Amino acid sequence: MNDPRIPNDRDDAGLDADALLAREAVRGLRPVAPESAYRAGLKAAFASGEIAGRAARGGAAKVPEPSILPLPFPGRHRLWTGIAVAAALVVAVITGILNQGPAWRIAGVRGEGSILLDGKFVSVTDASVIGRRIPAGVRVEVTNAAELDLRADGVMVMQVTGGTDLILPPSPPRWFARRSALHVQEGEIRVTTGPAFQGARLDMTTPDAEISATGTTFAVILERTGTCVCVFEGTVAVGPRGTAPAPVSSGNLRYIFRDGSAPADKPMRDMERTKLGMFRNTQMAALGMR
Amino acid sequence: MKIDPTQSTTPSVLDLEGFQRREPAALEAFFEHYFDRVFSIVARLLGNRTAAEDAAQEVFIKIHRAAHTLDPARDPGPWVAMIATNVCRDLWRSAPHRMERRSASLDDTPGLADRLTTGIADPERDLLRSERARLVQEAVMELKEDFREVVLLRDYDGRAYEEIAAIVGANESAVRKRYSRALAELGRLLRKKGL
Repeated sequence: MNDPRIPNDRDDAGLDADALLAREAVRGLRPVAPESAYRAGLKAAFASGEIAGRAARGGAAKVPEPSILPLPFPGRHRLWTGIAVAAALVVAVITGILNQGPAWRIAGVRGEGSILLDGKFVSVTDASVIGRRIPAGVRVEVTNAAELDLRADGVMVMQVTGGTDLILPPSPPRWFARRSALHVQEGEIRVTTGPAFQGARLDMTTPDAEISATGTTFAVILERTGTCVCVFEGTVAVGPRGTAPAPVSSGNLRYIFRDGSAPADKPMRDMERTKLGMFRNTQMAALGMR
Repeated sequence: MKIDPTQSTTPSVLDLEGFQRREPAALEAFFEHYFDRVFSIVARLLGNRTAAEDAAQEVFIKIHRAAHTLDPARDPGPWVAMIATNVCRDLWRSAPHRMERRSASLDDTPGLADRLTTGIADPERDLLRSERARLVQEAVMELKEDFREVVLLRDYDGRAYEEIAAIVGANESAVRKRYSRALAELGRLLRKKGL
């Protein structure tokens, strides 16, 4: 060897006979000496800087352009790239699954009338349905004077009352993209949020209004003449479709008229205040707030 | 700057700051110190003298080009070895057909300097030794390239695991495992060749 820095053999304790044979065979290989003329020519070129010109003129074209930093072997590179992509996909899928908000479950049924979930009848007197999981995307139809409470644990409770027809959205995701969107075509719903809703947003649309809530208790009531949004707690942004919603503070309502008249802001009606208060009180424990 | 030999493995004859400035005397000393070792390891890695000459030239082109990036406080040896192994890797990657040629030229037809290093006028012994070396090199060339690299860097070039890890861009534990597997594989190949 040119530079006999023999490695520490103690590092290689435990080598078997074949490995020892191989080690000694490699150590026994003599240095490969360059042809003297070649060496002298290269040395002169290196010392004078002419070697840089060789590179510029393509003098070393027989050898492809290398990189100074260590590169992985090509097969390895492709393998590791593939593994990295696959791992990233797995992580993305797992993250997406884990990021999902809690499932909706039936928290209560009452009143008179019928509840249809994707067209399947649910009896308002059947207590066994309490706790049943309802997947997002299900069409929820509540008729007459029936009421259905849907809860996403710790996040929110939605009370769907008679005459309401909606498609159940996913509850807000846990960590990022924490937005849930709901369209209500007709009827009346009440919403109250829990501690896990913090940082999330619920966007709702009706034929008349756009509503955006970030933690509150409120009701959305669709009537023939327009949409009324009553805010019991917190602040909800409400505006006509196609305009930027403006905030409505607690204790007030905003009425968005279907005929395009200017929205009306008023104190909330006593009856709705009472209903929302009762709704909030009955759901606080379910949301983990007591 | 002259490196204190007690503080570094860098020979005190090397003027690394002059090398950084590409001063001819410093470049010449640098070449003199590293070239033979570089040529030898790339020749063993590539198994072919012609390819080794091309590769060694490319290594020193790269060294010249990157001279200003050298840290004069550190031993340039691993840096040089890294460039050399990368040049070989690029060759393996981009021109596998060039590697078809086997290693006979390395040990069967040594250059004048190689013959002189033998030192003893014993043709029969030289022939046996040359034949054995040819078979060993042949077996080395049958190893996977990453195996060949760690075996040669460790047992031919005499590098520590830590250095090899830095050179090949892997962690030390992976290098140890790779080396162990490579030696076992090489041992089997040598047995098959009757050594």
